[in-house]
Amino acid sequence: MDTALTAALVTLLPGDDRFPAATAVDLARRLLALDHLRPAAEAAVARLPSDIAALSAGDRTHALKAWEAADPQGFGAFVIAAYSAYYTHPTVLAAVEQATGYAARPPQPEGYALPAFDEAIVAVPRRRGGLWRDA
Amino acid sequence: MAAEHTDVLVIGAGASGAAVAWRLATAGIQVTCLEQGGWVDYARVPSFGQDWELARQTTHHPNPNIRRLPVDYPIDDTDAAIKPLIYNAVGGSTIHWGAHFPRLRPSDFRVRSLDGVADDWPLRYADLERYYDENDRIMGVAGLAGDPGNPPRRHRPMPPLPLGRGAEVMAGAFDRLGWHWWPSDVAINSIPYGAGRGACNHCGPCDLGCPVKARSSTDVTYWPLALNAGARLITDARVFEIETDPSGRAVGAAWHDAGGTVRRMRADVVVLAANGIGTPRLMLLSTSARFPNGLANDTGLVGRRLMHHPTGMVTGVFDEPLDGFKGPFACSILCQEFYETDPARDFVRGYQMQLVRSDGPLGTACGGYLPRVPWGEAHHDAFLEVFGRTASLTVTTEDLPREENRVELHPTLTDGFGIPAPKMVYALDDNTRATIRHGIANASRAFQEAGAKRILPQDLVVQAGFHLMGTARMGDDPAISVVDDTCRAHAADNLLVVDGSVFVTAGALNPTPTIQAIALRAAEALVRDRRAIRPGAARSVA
Repeated sequence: MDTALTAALVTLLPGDDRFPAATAVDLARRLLALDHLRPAAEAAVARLPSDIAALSAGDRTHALKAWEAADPQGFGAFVIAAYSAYYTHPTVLAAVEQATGYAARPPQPEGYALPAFDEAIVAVPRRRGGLWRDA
Repeated sequence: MAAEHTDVLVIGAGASGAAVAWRLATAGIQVTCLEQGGWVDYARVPSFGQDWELARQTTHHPNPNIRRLPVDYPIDDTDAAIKPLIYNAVGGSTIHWGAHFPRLRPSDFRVRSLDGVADDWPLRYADLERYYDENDRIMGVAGLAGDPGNPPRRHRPMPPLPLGRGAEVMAGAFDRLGWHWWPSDVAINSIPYGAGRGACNHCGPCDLGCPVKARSSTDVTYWPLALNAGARLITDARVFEIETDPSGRAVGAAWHDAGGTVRRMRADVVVLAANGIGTPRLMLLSTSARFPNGLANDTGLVGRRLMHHPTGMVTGVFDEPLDGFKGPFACSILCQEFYETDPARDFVRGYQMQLVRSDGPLGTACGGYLPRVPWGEAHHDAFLEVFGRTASLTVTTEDLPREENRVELHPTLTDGFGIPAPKMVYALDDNTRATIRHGIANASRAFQEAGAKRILPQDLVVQAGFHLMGTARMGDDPAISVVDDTCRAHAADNLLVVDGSVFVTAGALNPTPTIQAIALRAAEALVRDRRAIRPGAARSVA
């Protein structure tokens, strides 16, 4: 696995006591395995300093900020690819559920329950006169 | 081998093409539709999978330049401030739309007379009213009659969808500010309605295709009815030319089938319904001795006057969970307090504010309604601060037509079949920028009133080219318009354009109900006048 890519990803998504780090979910491998995301990962590998894996955490952050300032579009594509691989990983979705209550399942077929519409809510706007111009 | 013949050939099976095919078929007219895409398989939509948000960013992105499916054609948008969002399938762009379903207001058809800008339409709201009603019945609309912001309308076919907590919070803010708001008309079933169509289960990503068939798209509304009435639909048909006779009358179309074989069909009438980009592209591709600049393009207006609904966005972050990932992402309430022209402002015309809900985890992190969540050490805290705790207001503005905003043919870029691709050239004008500024200030004020702890504005949503209008405008004067009020081309009376291309002005409201009402009106005129189109055409009409 590309060590530069791994170092960059864990700098973007370092994890904490609620969320796994990019390295904990093997994000580099996942990123390179997803057809639509691989080009952004490969472009990142070509763009990253070759020694980024050897840098301190602070210096890695500095290197990525320098790339972001010089090429916001290219860097943005890498960030979106990284987030895309991360936030669709089952372990990360389980962490989101644990932290927020958001169910770590697809939207279908269950959907979600919502309280039915209550017409009482339009009492104020209903009292207004016509706001449209007849033409 | 002789080409097949049909009475009416429709190009495009989306919002307008489906409506026209249904109306003509029910009148006994032999109608055939050519659609570039295929049928959506609702058993396989991404919302059943854990990677549904990844699909939204990639294979099911509304921008064809991002999803890059073989069925799509590329669109050069390098000189376009707003990027194109279209879909190629039976149902067209209704496959991925949000189904917000407002009608234009009467004043939208009279902007020159009322406000001294742009042009009046050759028809009025009253001319479309019964077609709006008929379209509501077929598509299925959930909503509430009595909106003071619009002319009275019939009882809606279904009660409103649940508004959600974010809408309840914002409705209270609008009430305290004394501003208009109302539950949106939406083309989504709140109760079972239509054959095989269930009620919305509030899953959220309508844009991925609705397996319940609660969210209206014309593949589940008009098309089953049209096919039952005898319409014929040919999928995987990539049309590259509308063919004409020496006088310029349309005689049929030529297309590539899925295997690349060129096919032809003859027709008495050709109807273009391929959206505000695809239709002018096809007209510009169809040159002849009579039309060297493109089909029915004597005025040079084909492809010109491209209009969007330039959209600003303001997102409020709240302390309380709003659970905005529950419910149709684009639909709950709208505010039209600032819709009409006010001479005290520094712009003409106005805007709507449409409440949109929020995203799942990936959509939240990547941004869209709100800026992208920052990366690095602060990322996880920043994510938790916003996820499920936001609501957003669009500032959907009226775009005045300008001829320099346009669709043209790209000199070198082609689709997978070698057909020249379209290029969009589009910039905002000062009036639009002033309108967005005003809207962002007011949307921010509404969020402040609602108690948002952070308010995040975006001046322009770039991926917002979902409403494509004006590129073959209608009008009474053949010198300054492409089609007449029944959508018939001035320069070729058996050629119709029925999609958003015909819009004279844009209004500031989602255009699909108006597109479909205009299409139904045009189809009815065609049924009524079919003997005038081609005397022999009456032979196959019941």
